[in-house]
Amino acid sequence: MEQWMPPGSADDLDQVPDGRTRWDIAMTEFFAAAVNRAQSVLPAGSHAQIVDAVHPSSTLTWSPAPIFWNGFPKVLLSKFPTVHQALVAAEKLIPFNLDGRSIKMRPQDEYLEWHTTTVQGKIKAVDFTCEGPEYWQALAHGYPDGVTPPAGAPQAAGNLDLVTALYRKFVDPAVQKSDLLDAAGHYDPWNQWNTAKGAMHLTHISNSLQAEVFLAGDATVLREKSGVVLIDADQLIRCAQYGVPERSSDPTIGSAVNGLARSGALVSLLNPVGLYIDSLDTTGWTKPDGSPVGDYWTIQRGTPDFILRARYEVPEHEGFTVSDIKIGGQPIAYAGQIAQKITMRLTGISADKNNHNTPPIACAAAASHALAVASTVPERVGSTRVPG
Amino acid sequence: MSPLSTPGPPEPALDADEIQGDSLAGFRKNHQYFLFFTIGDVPAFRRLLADLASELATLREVAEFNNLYRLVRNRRGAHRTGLSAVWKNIAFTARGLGLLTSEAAVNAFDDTAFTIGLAPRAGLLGDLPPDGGNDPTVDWKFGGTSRPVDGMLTIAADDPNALERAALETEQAWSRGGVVKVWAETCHVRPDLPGHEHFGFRDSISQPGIRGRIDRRPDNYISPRYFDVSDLRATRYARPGQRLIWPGEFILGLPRQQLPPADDLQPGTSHLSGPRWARNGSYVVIRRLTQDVAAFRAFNAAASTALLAAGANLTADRVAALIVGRWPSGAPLVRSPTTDEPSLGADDFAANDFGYESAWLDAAYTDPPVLDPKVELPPNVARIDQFPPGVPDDAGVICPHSSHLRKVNPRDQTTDQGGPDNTLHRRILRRGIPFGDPYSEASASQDRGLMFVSYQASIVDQFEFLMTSWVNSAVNPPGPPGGMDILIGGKPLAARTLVLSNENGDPYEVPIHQVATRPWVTATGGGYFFAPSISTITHLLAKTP
Repeated sequence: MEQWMPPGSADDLDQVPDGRTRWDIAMTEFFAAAVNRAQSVLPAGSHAQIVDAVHPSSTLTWSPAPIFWNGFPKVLLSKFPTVHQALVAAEKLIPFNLDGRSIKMRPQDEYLEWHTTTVQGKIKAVDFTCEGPEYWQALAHGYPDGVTPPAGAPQAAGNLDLVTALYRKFVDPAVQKSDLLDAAGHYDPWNQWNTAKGAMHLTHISNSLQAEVFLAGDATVLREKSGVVLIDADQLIRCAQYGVPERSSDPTIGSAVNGLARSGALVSLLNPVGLYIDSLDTTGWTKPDGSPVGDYWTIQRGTPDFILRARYEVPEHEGFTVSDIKIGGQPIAYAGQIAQKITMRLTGISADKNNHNTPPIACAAAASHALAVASTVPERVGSTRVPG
Repeated sequence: MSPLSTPGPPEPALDADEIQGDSLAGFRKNHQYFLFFTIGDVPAFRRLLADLASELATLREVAEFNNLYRLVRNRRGAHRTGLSAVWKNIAFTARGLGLLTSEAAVNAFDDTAFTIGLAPRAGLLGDLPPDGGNDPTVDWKFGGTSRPVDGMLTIAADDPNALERAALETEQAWSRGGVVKVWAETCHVRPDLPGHEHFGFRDSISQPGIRGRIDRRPDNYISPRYFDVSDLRATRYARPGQRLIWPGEFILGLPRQQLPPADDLQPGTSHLSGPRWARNGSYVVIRRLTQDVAAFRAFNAAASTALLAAGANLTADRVAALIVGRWPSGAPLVRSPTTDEPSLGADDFAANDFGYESAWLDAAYTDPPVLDPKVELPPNVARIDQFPPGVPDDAGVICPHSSHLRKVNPRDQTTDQGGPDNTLHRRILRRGIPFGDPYSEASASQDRGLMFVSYQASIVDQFEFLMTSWVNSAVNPPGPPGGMDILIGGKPLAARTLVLSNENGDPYEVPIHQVATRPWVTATGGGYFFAPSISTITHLLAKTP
């Protein structure tokens, strides 16, 4: 039977008892919740257009609709008067109050986060990740936090040794298991090796797989204002409140998914669900001698079509560092300059077009059911995300 | 003509004696001379500049002349106005400004593209080096790494003889003042097809409308208003298809366009991304784009044949129109999908009044525009737009998402930047003019093309964004099945693919290297400049410190 696969078809879960089954259960729960959210705002007799494309199995023919956006935080570019200030801000962890707990996270909120390794003031390497925290919680404890397995499902059991080994492989050999746990012995996504000292997976509270599935589900609900069906990405996201309007990703994803829904199709997300690094554009990047840069981009996790983690690092034999590379004549001083050239991707899928039309819903009716998403603006600390 | 009062927001009277005129008003001359130069003797150049300052055409002069021209043309006809003017404007590269001010002053400009200059960024735009080299600008006629320039003087005129005299006088006087000519070029609107570029397409139809007035007179707008007050578009559009944008998107230090949910009818903040004296100035992008007309036509013919083999029966002319997004007359594909409609292309209003997701550029408006009955209209513009409205084309079947038109101005489309209003931050004012003689088989090898000129408040966020994030992107602005803008896009031929969709949304792809032997648009010169205000020129640049 088909299952929801782990992001990027990663095989780590093979080392966790019933790992793949549990991941499928978690994703199924995410989709069920997304369907319920959408259904709850629709009038009686209308069926939500967001569906779980895997369960139950069907003969529907799904068409992919890739959605792209830029990896550098748009909110920072909007917030700061100069690009330089935004690049500096992108590198600094920001405090956040998560349900009474003070955490530090990266301000990188486009489902792409990175950690910069510098040596003697020069950028040696930049690690980019787009893996959601849920996957790592599942590796650590069997299920993502907050997922309640149905009766009869495998009991939660993770593999913290595996998590530690992966951290040692990709972040730092010095990582100790205890470093990754909170006081209660639970895996801590905001541990030091995933914040100040490295980037194993996403940390921004808006950068979660569940949030993505909910956003897609909420966006399948057609919206109207004064009798006019909304198609404008900005109007849609403000009407439906399915994300942060100032980001690149949320309005773009929501608008694209809403477009699929407006075609009267059933809508879901491509299996394996994930927010992937699509590509890095190095057009116009030059070595110190003025010649074009080589391929210094190494995919470390995922596949070329579903990149989960990649490193940008100049091989030692080249004799220079990332900081010596120029982008259009400008030396790379911040990893954010690389992120500005990274395209992110999520793939929606649709099927059975024209046969699943639901009536548009007024904005006011939608608000009470909306996913409240915490502000991503750094200084506005104190608000707390309310999961759907 | 007496433009009407509109129900829109109060718009500021700009410093019309301060802003150089080509930016917001546009010279609109049939003949234009460009002098790209280096400054050999700074004190001598300051003296030249002091003399020139009083000759520079201001926004007030150019805008008022354009108003007068419209008035006379509407009564007498375009060929009998009897009006003639000679306009001059000047702009400097970061290198040139550095000579006249200081390195620190130049570094105060918060625009990396400007401070670095075009040559090191040509590769970023997709310009390709000659075989075996690394520098795309090595053969440039001006502005390349081996032929840097400090400044650019433009002279524009209605009368070609007057232009020639002015250019000659300037070159003689300036050479005595220590100015070294790097390149000079006299450009002309095509005499056989005025308003068309060398591939044969009518150009510059779509320009942003600009909020702001020339003076305190309430109706003396920079962009004249044509809507009847009963039409809701009157608050947001200067004329059909021409959205009004706050002037800070083009001139430094003026109010910028606000993004949703802020009220776009209200002025945004006035961000000055440079030293204080940069206020009322504008960044200028110059790209000398050589056009190989024979190569473009040969590609269209070969692609037509290749598409026929793939099951798509498209003529070479249709292929060209799909690449551009308009027919040669200027008629937009979404309003005339299968054949050219010259009367539509000639109607400046109708040819620009369309969207890709909605008929009239904005989903909020469902009816044809209602124009003020008292306002005289430009030639060829119908008071009632009776052309078929645009056909919503979200799928890009009629007008491909890869077409030049959709790439550089996605109009009502949502993009990777958000809703369509976000695109208003990316608009530029285009003031280009062709160089070289019109194409003929006998003259196929002659150098011809477009002297691309654009004004903007940020080179990085406007011109370069359009080139790097949309024109050369295979996926953005989004829309199936994607594809680059192959009209002007960079990248090697081997990396270019013409991507079209059929009625079912299935893609047709024509790898360009299979049917093209050489690129058809090649940069052969250019630079990033800054056109300062008149007072900055007078009181800072022309003065001995």
